[in-house]
Amino acid sequence: NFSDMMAARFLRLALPVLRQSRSYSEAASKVFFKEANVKQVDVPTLTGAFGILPAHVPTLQVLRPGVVTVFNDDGSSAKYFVSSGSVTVNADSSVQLPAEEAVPLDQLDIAAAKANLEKAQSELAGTCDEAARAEAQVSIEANEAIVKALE
Amino acid sequence: MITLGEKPGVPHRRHHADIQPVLEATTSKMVAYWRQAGLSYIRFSAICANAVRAALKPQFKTEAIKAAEASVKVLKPKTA
Repeated sequence: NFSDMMAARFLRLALPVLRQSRSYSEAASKVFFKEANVKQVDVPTLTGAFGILPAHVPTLQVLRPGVVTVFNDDGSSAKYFVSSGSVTVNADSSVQLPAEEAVPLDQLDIAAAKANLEKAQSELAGTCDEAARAEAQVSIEANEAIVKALE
Repeated sequence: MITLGEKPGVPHRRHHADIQPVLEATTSKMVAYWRQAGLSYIRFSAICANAVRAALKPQFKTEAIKAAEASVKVLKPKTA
């Protein structure tokens, strides 16, 4: 019946930190969720932020610097800041979230992020070619995202 | 159902060693400014990762930087 179908659709989440170029499943230095059943995951992607619920359409997205929020079945939630990476939603509602850096929000220092943001903004002013400008802009946006996540 | 990979009939683009997903049902493809400027996703990701590590509280920062250095060594090959 319908309630059995809902119970069968869960989110299994694996959130390893991608530190090496080999296959991420063995090379991750930090795994936050390994085959954990959760209710919802909010992810920041290059094309916008979205929430993943069970039975979400399968998708592959690229992450941008931002906050990943995991909502557990008991109503509690946990927030992590991810630098970059990808998110894969499979047909069986399993989700993989390999990230190059993923840290709990409380490990970040807002004063350091604000100082780094100012430094990146002044570096942008000193650039001349398009690639250097883009690199400075990436750093600015990453630091802006960190500040926004912590405020 | 998403389709990953090259679209049939579209000329092959030069490869980036990075993630370039093909999204279904896009009428116009948005190109990120950094890609437009010639940066690969690997480079974009490295800059973002550095920003995160640089904003860590001191007690977490050294460990993160050490872990990052241990996994990837960047060697620029000498071009002939």
